[in-house]
Amino acid sequence: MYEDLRLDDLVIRSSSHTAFFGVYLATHAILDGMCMCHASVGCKVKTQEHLTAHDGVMDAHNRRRYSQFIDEDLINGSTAQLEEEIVAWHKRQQSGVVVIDGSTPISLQAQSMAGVIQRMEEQTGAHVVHVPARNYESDYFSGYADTIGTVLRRLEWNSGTPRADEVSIVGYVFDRYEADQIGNVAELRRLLLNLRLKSPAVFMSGEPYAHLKQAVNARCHLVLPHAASQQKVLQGLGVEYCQTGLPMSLGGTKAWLRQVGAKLGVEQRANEVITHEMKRLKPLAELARRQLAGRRFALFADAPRAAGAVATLMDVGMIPGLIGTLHFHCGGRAAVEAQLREYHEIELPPGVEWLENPTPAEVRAARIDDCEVAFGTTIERQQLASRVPAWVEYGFPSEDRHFVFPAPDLGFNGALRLWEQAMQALAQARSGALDRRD
Amino acid sequence: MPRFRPHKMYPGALLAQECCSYQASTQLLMRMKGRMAVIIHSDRDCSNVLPKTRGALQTDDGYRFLCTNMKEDELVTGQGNAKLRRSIELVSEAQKPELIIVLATCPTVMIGDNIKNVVRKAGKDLGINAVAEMTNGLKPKSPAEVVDNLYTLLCRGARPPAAGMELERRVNLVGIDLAPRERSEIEAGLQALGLTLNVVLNERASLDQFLAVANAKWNLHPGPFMMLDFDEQCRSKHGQEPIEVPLPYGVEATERFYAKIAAATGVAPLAGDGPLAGDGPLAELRDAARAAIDVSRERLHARVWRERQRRPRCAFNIGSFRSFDLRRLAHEEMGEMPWIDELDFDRTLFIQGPQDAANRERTAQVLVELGIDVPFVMFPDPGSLAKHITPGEYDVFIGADFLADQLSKLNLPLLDKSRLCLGYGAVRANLDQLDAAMTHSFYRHFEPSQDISGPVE
Repeated sequence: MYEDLRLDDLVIRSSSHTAFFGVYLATHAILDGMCMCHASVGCKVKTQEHLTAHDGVMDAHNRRRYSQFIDEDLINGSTAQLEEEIVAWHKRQQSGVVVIDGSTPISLQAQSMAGVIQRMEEQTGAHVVHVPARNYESDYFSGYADTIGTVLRRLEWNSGTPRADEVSIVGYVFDRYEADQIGNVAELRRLLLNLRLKSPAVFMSGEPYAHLKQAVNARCHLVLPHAASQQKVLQGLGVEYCQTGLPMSLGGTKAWLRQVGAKLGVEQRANEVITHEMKRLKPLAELARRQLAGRRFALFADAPRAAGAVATLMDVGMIPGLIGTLHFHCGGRAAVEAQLREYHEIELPPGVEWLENPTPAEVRAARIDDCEVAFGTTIERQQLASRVPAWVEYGFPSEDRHFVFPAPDLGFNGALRLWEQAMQALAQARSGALDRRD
Repeated sequence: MPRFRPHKMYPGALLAQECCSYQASTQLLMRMKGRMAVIIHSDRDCSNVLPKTRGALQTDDGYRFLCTNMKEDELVTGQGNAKLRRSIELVSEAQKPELIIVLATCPTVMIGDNIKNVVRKAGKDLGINAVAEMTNGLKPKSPAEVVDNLYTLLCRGARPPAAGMELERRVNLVGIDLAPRERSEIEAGLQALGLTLNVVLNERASLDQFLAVANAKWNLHPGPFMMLDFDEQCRSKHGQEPIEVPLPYGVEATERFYAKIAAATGVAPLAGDGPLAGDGPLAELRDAARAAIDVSRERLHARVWRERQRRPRCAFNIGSFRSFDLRRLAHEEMGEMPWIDELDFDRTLFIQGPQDAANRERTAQVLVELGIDVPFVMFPDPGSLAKHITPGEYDVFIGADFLADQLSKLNLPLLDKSRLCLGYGAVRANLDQLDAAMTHSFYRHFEPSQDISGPVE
């Protein structure tokens, strides 16, 4: 038995940020959301451990509680402790929504939460939802997306009236209250506002639950790749939606505006916006191209973001040397190549090295020595930074790089900021301030 | 009322947070040196207690932590024992560690995997050192108890003392993480007492150091009531004796630290050639530390009087910090208090824990037994601390950085406890930290938040 088991099957990868953590991260992204982990005492570490150093603005653990079940609770199937905690914490924090995040022992118990939800909504007056985390074969993007879907299901759709100038955005992975994330939400809204569309509900945006509730008034729901798995929810609700790519890179953002424009009947306006933006960007993009063209880079990110960032950097003539796809819910190499073709109109050059959901040993052995700059999370940086002259911490977690002024990577402004970060990292390496090769 | 602390508390840590013995064990084993492999017998999610950064997962010797990554069907069909056995074989073959430690978790304890027997049999069949700990979060423990259990386990196979060693003059320092400067000061002090530091057993120690524990007569560690099983094992196996020492924060406590060791070992006086005598190795450091405290006391009192017409007030935090280091846990997390006393601040304890009458009474009793006569406030969770303090009520909060967000709402400066250092040499640096926290201009530019009021249970 288990003759085929390999050491790699036992390795802990960065993708062991499971759905349980994803539910917590998504709830953190609702300003007045409370994450009630239905879990034992150690499970709290699986959540707060990973976010405290990443989010320098908002302490997520202040809005997370755990039911702290013990053996006798499991034997008796008791939810008394869970319910007491929800009531006590709601009283303290006046939460807009309570998200019950189910741990593995709870999933093994297969106990329904329907009764708990009903009682808790009666006692607190807040919306209460349960996201059963399937931790065995899912990653945090999966838990994040499931939380979005579960919240969407809970909204009071009968109370809404679709408004001609409102849409919602479904599937932005807001992971901290710093200016990189705030900047992305602002850029998404700016792009839509240029099409004369408002988007009060962005799932997720770091805003109060009341903002998300306004999704019931949206004329159409724009589904980004990270929430592609939740199209079924919108389908089930019978509302209009549009699956899009991630508005990143010049080509990708143009394609996104055109797609949204076509869906909502504002194609002419979309083309005007694109023309105007290209005129604004050209001298700045030229500057970036002169600085960055021909430079080889390595990049680690989840598939949709990897495709977007690779396309952004290739827009100014940079050359991808290695692409590492992190996690697996959003796909691997095939997903990146498909999104590059479909959304960004980019073909990769031959000879690109690939890693998919790599083990730490595979990351450590990554062939990046001919790259001048690398983009990736703290996890990859700590293994590889000594082998590449310049490193731009990018994605979750970014424990070393923080932002106090808007620094999006989405949209046209995101392209400018990403090029600027690459330029500054290379300039810093040239100045010798970060001579990581020593 | 929500239930907390359903377990029997460890005698030396009655006010600390409780913890999952599995998670605590991983944290303790993360930085230890040596060719050790830890197999987590669990689904993927339990391995997520480990940070993915800071080199926790992989060392130069290979992977420190691995996980059986049990799937749902494997859990419900009882294949855990077989998968664990095969995992031990794979790890042993690939990494050839000196010790394999298998940690149980909630899911594998729930389904009743026979972990101890599987590991024992694998060790015997493969001729390797493998041990199992039935850790999990279904029976919360005190962090100090996990430290005690794990150190006891790691020392279980200790070698007999080396021949010819003068054991009476050798000491181990147990459970305290030390910066190099702290360690060298303590070594100098012990040396002046005629004692040699054998090993420091802490989160950075190597397996080899744990196995060398018997090369000393004395085990120094803070108390009270810490390392109970460890002391018992060391006494019965190696004839060792524990010495409970105060944590050397500030001048007076550092003096007591050496005095306690000198008295217990009976091998060296404090006067004469001792570390604190006129020309002893630490005398200069001690005198400089004492002078620095005098200057800071006067300066901070004068400043607070000028600004607020009262004495300085310090809020001192207990029960929020998740640590497995006795320098944080011992003395009910008040090891730094003697240093605060030297500054003559008014103090109030802010203890994170349930607010029910029974717990308040229990807490009051613990403080009485420790001889601490200081008012205390209970706050139930990190997110509600701000509701228990009025802006301007205190001048500094000495506690866990975990609470920074709440303190920012109050414009109350935080002195992160974990930045305070031990020994005479650290007194000046600690005072600088305190001074910087209390006198910087940052909060003058901002108003306290408006959203801190709310019902307090």
